[in-house]
Amino acid sequence: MMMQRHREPEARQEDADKPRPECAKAPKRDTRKHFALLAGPLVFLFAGLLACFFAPGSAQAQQLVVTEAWVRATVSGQTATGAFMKLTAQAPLALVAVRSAISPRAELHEMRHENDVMTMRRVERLPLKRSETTLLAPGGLHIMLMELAAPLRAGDVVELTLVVEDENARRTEYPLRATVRALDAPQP
Amino acid sequence: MKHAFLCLCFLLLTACEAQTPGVSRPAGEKPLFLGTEVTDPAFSPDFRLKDAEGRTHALADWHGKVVMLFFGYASCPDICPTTLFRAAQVMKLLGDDAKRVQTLFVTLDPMRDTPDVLREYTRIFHPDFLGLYTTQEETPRLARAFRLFFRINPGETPQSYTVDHGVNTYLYDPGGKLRLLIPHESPPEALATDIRTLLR
Repeated sequence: MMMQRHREPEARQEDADKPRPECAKAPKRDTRKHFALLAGPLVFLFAGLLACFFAPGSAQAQQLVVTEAWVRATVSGQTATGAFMKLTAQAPLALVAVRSAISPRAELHEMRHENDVMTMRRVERLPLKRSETTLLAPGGLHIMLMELAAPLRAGDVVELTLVVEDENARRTEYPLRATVRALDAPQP
Repeated sequence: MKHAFLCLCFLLLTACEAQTPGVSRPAGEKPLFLGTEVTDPAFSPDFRLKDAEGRTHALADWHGKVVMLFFGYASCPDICPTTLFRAAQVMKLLGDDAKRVQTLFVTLDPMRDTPDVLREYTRIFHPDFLGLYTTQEETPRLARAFRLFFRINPGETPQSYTVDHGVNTYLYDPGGKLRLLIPHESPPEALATDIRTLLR
């Protein structure tokens, strides 16, 4: 089958205060395929239904587990801030893009602190090793949400979508929710 | 030749003495400060910077106070808020002595850090913190005067650039002399100790 873009169920978020993914949001498959290839989507649909019954038990649905997602609050007029989280891949993956309705420009950045100088660089592609947890945390890798139109207040919830590529260059989107923490909150 | 060498040693020694008036100590004695001493008559930058209300400030405005100064920008994802957070902790640790300390946050990004952003951003951490800025043209010169690393990394759009910069905190004594450089990793307790020493 051709490389197929589809939407996976929500990334599993393990924050205590967050609900588990709902089955109602389970796979929206792209079925713009020839009739002869219908069998493929049918199998996927069946797998999707199974995923619904056993969620979050399906391997497909859990390729990426996102925990402790948060965003730093901003003040009025401030146009950029950082988003932080823990990413655990269940298969070799790569984070290739980030999207958010609140930011027309969401990028993965890496901050370095060497010789008393702070530098920041864009990271186009972040490999995620199987069974390893990658930290997007203050002082290192983080998602920069830029060109923000409105301030983010502590307690707000920001919706983000991580675009992840597997070894076969198949892209999957993981929507997730991140809580906004106060600008002057201590580093977690 | 031997004489010349001894002469040179003597000159070097006196030069060192001259650079650290009043703070030179015999080798092996416990240092006075936890931060790095930079007391040097040739390196004690003053400035003329504006606050969010448009008032121009120079070091002399805080004569009799310790000035705790650092550079940054509001869109900085973690180093700058951490530095401001630490400064707020230092104020708490100092108790009554905090009244004799002025914290200054100088933006390296006057284009995005408008006076309103600067005012709200600094006050979130502490009501007495003051955000200062100069023009975009003047900012690189200001950084040079502080021997501060500063570089703008252009982004894909005019608004999406990032700023690389030095993260040390500068501590001035109540007489307006630059005395200490404090690294980013230094804990608030160490800063509070050094500030108390400077206030003595």
